[in-house]
Amino acid sequence: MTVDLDRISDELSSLADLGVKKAKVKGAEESEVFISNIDTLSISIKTNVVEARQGISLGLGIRVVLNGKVGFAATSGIEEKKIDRTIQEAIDVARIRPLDPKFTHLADPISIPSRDGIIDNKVLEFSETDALEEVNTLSKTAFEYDKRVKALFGGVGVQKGVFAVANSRGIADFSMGAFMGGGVYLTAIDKGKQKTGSESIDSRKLADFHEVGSKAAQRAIRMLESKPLGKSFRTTVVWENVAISPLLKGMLNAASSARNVQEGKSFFKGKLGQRVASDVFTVVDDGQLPEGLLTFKTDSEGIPSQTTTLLEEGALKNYIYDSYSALQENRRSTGNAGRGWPEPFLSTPNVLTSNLVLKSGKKDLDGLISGVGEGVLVTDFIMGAGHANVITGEFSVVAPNAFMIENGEVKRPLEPLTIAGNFFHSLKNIEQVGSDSRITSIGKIPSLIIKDLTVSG
Amino acid sequence: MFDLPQHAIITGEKLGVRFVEARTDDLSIREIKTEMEEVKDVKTMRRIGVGVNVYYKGATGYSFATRLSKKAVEEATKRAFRIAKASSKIAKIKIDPGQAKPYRQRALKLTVKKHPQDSSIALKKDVVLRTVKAARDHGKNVSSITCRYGEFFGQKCFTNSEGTEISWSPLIVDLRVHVVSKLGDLLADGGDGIAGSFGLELFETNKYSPEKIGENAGKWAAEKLGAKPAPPGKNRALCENRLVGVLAHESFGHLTESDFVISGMSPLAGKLGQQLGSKHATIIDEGTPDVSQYRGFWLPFDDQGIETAKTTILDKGKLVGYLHDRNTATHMNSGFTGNGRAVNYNFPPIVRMKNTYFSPGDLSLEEAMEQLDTGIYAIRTAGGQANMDGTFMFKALRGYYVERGEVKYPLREVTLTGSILNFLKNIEGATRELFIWSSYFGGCGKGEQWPLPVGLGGPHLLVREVQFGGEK
Repeated sequence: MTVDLDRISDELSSLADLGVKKAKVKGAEESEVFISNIDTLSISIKTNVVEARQGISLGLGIRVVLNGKVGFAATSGIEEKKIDRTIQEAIDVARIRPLDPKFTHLADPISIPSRDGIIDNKVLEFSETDALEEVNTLSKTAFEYDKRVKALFGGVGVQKGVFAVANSRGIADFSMGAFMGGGVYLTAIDKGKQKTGSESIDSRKLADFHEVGSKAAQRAIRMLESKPLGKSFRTTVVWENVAISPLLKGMLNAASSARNVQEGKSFFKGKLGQRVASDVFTVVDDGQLPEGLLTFKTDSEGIPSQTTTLLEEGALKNYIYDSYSALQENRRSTGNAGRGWPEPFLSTPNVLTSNLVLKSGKKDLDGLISGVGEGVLVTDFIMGAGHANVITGEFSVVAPNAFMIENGEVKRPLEPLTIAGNFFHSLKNIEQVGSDSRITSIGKIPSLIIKDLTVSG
Repeated sequence: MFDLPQHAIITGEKLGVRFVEARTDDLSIREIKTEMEEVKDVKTMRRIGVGVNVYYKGATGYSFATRLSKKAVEEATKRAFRIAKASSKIAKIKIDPGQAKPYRQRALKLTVKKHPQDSSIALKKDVVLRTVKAARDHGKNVSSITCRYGEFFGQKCFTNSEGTEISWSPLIVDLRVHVVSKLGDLLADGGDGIAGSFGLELFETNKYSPEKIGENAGKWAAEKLGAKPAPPGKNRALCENRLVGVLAHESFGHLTESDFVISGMSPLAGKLGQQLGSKHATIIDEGTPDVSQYRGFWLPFDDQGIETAKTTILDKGKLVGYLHDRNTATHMNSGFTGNGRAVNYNFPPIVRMKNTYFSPGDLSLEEAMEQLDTGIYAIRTAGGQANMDGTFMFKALRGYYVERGEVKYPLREVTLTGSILNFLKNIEGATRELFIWSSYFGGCGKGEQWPLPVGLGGPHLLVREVQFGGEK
């Protein structure tokens, strides 16, 4: 089955090359052609109503340089006349752009060995019939777990993608990947009280979903006994890996981006070498983690993916770069030029983290909890992480699944809890990191403990 | 543009499918982004594709083609048929699109004086740079100004097995600016903007000129440098138009989407006819409000070829309706509301909102401030999120502490949390003006379908016992 991906990458690579040649003929000093082909199969269920979707998103995005100015245009499809039209549009955009004095040139090729992540033939061969079977099991196991489970949204999907990028400075490369994911979000109702629970798996290897339904159900059921906290106070918060993930991603992405640092929008600006977090906190941006969902041979500019230490034992070590930000500082890109998903061809590259990998500690989640005298445990997902202020670090999130911890034990479940603080100041308050690292859509993340946050509810 | 979707219908019928919907979406996007006075990004993109939705034995299968050929459309139709057929085996609730009258309306569009497709990108760049200048002139200790202009337009063509043929042209223009002021270690932000279905002539008005929008953002960021944290706990609140719009849409509107109702996910399932809110709480979802007066997003037809209705969902506190696509309306034996929408050709239509807003009341803003007496005046939103159990978390972009009807000092990080059902019960009054916010940057997300243009708004609402978060 990888033969299919190989065939597509050949086609995309030769088209990217063709595009670069055409741009030159049209007068572009430099050009870059990015083409992506992403095949999505998605089967979802909403309490017995099934929705199925499969299709291939295909398109190209072109950057050209004209009189030192950069223009970008994108189109769906890859027909030759669309390539021509899009080059022309990019040139038209470049004409009206003011000169960006910080722009010098597009990316130069860098030679570092790199590779794509794991590609599992079983994932490539996973069919709509297989997906339907898994979805059916997900739904059945959840409803059978407890009769108070009343409603459920679930789904299983596979994405297989190839992208190729070529530029006039000699970059010509492609990457591919395939992964599957599935999960469920459900509600349990008892005595008029409605609670939610969720569970999901994302994986590059064939995943087994048969426990996902019951785990989600269990998470919702245990919330049915929840009581309001009834106060507002500062305390220790134990974050389950999946709960802290989105906040980590948003904050670390924004603060580590060299573009943000250069533009004065990063909390980490001017802090290289300084201690910004507690010494249990070590974070690596690992673009080469074989099982990581964000692992590709190259980034979206064709620069080899790399492994960059962001924080080591609390000290700030590096920022991450695309070629634009790297050239400002006369250094090499760290291979962090990312584009949007699942239609990457639509956007210009921006500095994005690949797999964020936190160095894990010694204790699992239960072990972490057992060391907390008084605090709260936050599980599942949190609301509002996407709206945190990534420049200042201030956040206020709501945890629908939270529990009181007393004397190292999880006591009563709580009604939705508001947790507020400043993420960057809190980095120094990370007391412990767990051993339960888990592959999520942001990287490989363990549970962790942050002391001294304001909780209210 | 009708050729390819019509070919999908014919292909489907040959396969023995009773009902097929097909559409061509040809949508263009232009975007300008600046950091300070520097143009960072100009983007232009066009997406054309054909989407095919096949109904087979109570299940649907959706596929699409980005290669615009009869062969590609045939393949997509067959793929859609194959997955619909496989799905029909496990679908316990059978999907039935029902029957609708065939509509035939071509080339519908909103009349504007200066359509963005007719003016140069240089002119739009000028609008952006004027905004930035005004923000700088009126800001203090400015450390960054990000300004974005976006436009979205094109053509949508729809046809189905019933013979409906609709084509119309969506339009959104969006200008927004975000200013960060920095004093020592203290960072504060402010923002302003306008978005909706209108022509560039709106930027020539005093209220929405780039100068005014920039001035507001600069001023409000500067003001926040001296802001205090919002007092945590329960406070009386006066919530501004855009903020209440977010509540109407995110927190309440989604719960009235009938796919959530049928699946039992919504706490509003089975509550039709019940009194949920105070008599000041009326919520409407409408396709074509008077956008010249109230702003918002102009949406004459949905992506199932159904004419959009003005749907009252909450009437003086009483739940009176849900929002439907064809399938859910048929399942629940209800009338069509025109809420079957898809974000682009990658996706099938699902139940989505149109312009969702609280109806205005009879107070003037001054009277509302007086009635507020002491509490928090919360304005606009810097985002938010709602859970299906009705709980929400929304961050106001600006806020003020009000004492005895007078604004005392600005607040930072004003976060409202609570349950929408309590919020609706606690509404004590509404002002008489209506404003509907729409957007190109952002928009509504449901499942993977994001960002769908919608409108949301209302008057100012006076609400008691609103829970505010914040650091202690």
